[in-house]
Amino acid sequence: MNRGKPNQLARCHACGQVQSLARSKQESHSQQEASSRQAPPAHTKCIRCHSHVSLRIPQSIHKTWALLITAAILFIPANLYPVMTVVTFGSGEPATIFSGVIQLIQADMIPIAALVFIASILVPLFKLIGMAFLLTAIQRQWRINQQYATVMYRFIHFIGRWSMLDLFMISILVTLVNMESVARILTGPGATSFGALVVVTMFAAHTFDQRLIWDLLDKDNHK
Amino acid sequence: MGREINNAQYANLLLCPDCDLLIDKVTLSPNETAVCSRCQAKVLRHPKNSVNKVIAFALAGLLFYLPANFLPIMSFELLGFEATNTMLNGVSQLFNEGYYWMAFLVLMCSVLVPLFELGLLLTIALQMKFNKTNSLTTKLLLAYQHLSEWGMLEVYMLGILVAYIKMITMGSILVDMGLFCFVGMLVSALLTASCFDTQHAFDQLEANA
Ligand SMILES: [Zn+2]
Ligand SMILES: [Zn+2]
Repeated sequence: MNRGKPNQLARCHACGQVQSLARSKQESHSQQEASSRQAPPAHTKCIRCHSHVSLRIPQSIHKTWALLITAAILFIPANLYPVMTVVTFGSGEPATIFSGVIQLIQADMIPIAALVFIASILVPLFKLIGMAFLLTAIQRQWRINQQYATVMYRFIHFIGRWSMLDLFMISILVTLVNMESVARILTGPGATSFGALVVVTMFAAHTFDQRLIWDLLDKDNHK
Repeated sequence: MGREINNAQYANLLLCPDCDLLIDKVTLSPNETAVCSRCQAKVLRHPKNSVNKVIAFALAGLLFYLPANFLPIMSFELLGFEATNTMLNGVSQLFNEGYYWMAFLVLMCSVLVPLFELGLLLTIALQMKFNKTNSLTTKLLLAYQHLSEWGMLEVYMLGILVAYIKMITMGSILVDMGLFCFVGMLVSALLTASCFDTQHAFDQLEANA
């Protein structure tokens, strides 16, 4: 299978233009030549749209790990602190994401409870575990099924945005239930952490370079 | 300047964005999509009648945009008290409660980015239709490419649905005009995006230049 990287060919992530990075290696400054031989120029500008072009996202593994660890830390306050408080006749009842799901189950709204549980708890958790698995597999050069790993990554990438469901729901409920002393729904501090969690995991999915999954095959061939 | 030659040399090649496989460029008819033989990623897409459709759908989306954002989406009544929800008063309520970060996030994903997406696509499509493309078009295309991931109208729609079902048992909840405009905006935005492909637009820009 002929691939881009061995031929010093890179695809611009923004416009799709295929271009050679080989020439810019000769043009590059001597300081880069002086560094290790196996490191070609990390990136250059796209000939068509002037975005950064590189064979692989620079420092993809490290950046993704950093974002993933941040997300794992944010996962704790996001689930421990209440995301909203329902105040009826002056007495408040703070609800975390999980207790919100329990309340929905008790109110016999099972499908909605399942939806909120999946979007707010399972999806972030699956993203954290799935991305950690992919990163470890690449770093340890595990023999994984490239097809399955790619499908898994695409799934992680696709579901990420749906975690915003809880935040949108809160922004709707705070105005809908806004009856001064009778009933109010207030935002809780957990929502801030949760919002950060969603954004950080989306960035993590973004900095991860899928092609590293398929690079494992090349390493197998060389052995 | 040597890289210009490289450009022509590799113009007949495609690289799979997902697995880095080298693929010979194929010519697609409208409405066709080329898929990577190894990992099934979409490597090339030719949207059907794209420019006219993008203009039509983006205009429709922009027409729905103001009423969708300002008209009440739902209203809720409890013991004689009534409250309504619009997309923007949700944001301002979060802001007033001091949750600036959440207000910013909701504002970006459900209000600002969808507007930018529609506006950018309309501008790009109009420029292409009347052959008025310039260096600005490239910048607009890049802006769209980077923003599009953060527009989340379809997730907001689900949020409306969940909020509605949650409140049914608590009091009387009514859907309002804003919801119909929101659905109109959502459908228009989805259709606009489906008729547009950034890479195809870049290829066309280059062909016309
Ligand atoms: Zn480019
Ligand atoms: Zn592929």
